[in-house]
Amino acid sequence: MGLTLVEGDGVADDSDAINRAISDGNRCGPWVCDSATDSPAVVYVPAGTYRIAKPIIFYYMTQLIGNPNSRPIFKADANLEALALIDASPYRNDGKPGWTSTNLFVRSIRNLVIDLTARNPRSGAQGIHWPASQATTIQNVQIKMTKDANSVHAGIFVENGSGGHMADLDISGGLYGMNIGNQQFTIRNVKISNAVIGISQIWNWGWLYQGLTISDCGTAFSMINGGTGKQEVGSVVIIDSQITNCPTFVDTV
Amino acid sequence: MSGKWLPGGCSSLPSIQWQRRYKHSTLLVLLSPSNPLLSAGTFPLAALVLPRAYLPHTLGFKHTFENMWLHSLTLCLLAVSTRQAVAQDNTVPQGTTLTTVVISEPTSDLRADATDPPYWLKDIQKQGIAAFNPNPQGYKVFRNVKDYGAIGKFLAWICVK
Repeated sequence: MGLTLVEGDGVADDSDAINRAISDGNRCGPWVCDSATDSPAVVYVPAGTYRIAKPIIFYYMTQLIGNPNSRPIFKADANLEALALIDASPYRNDGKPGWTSTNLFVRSIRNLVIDLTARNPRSGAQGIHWPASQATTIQNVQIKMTKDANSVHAGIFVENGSGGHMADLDISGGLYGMNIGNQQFTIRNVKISNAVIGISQIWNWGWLYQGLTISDCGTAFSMINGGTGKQEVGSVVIIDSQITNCPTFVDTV
Repeated sequence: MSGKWLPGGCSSLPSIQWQRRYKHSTLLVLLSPSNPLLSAGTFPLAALVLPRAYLPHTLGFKHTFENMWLHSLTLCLLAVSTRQAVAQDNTVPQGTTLTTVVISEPTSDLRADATDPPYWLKDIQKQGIAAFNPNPQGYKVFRNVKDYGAIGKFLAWICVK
């Protein structure tokens, strides 16, 4: 027994430690606890590069915050097999989500870099799975993916919920910068480049985008889901935005 | 700096208060009130200068838990054998060898953590509690992932069997 000095980069998997920091203190975890506001956590991540070989699982009322003056990097391991590197509501094997998506409250991610480039672009990888509802935000987050015409990666994946707010995102590469569907959301200052499709709007009731900067994508914004027979997208507002070098701005049915 | 996840019954870890990397060495300032490697004397704070080449993997060791005791032992011997070489000034020139150890009271300069820039959220005194938690005095609202064993790319201490 003793104390020893190690260098973490590429040596230790930091995901267990980060998950311990989130779950410590008998907090409200997925599948076993509907909600709790008496066990909040501010989980601070100092500057550094953290190797992530297992998904980071959010608990109820968690704020994951990096140092904005030197944003920590969560670097996906090449063998990270997960729906997403950060999962706000993981799916169990029987398909049950951690929480009902309309009860995914009081969570946030701030000041972080997520690097998925170690993953093969043809093998599944997503930065953040965020089927979120009220009092939630993702802010000042960069997500890096490899540029590849056959990529299956997505920076942010949202398939459900009743949010929400995101701002100040910088996403590059992948199949989708964002692949997102939710009742409503407000999103501002999002930069997406070198994705096959910048933003894929899976479904919504209403969604406001202010200050998109999308460049070098095949399609900047796709809302074709459901086809002509059952349009899944209710309404989209895009203002104060700049689309550059994307052959198609908006792909509609 | 303690928790049930620590293996082998270690109850505390020294924290790196400050570090600076030189071309051939790394200066670490460790705050380790209960560190068996460094607290045999009366010094609450110690600084070790390690050659970059010391890092276990550069010596050909694999990073396995089985051989970690070797590195612990080496560091322990280093600390003991060089404790005599006390220097009052904290400047460390390039090329400083393994035998240099600086032991002094912490100065404000040394308290700064060069690896993680200042940020009000982590730097402010934490005095709030989760008032409605069943154990408000024991429950931690603010957690630093490094207190739970996350290492990041920087040097860190881990406790091994």
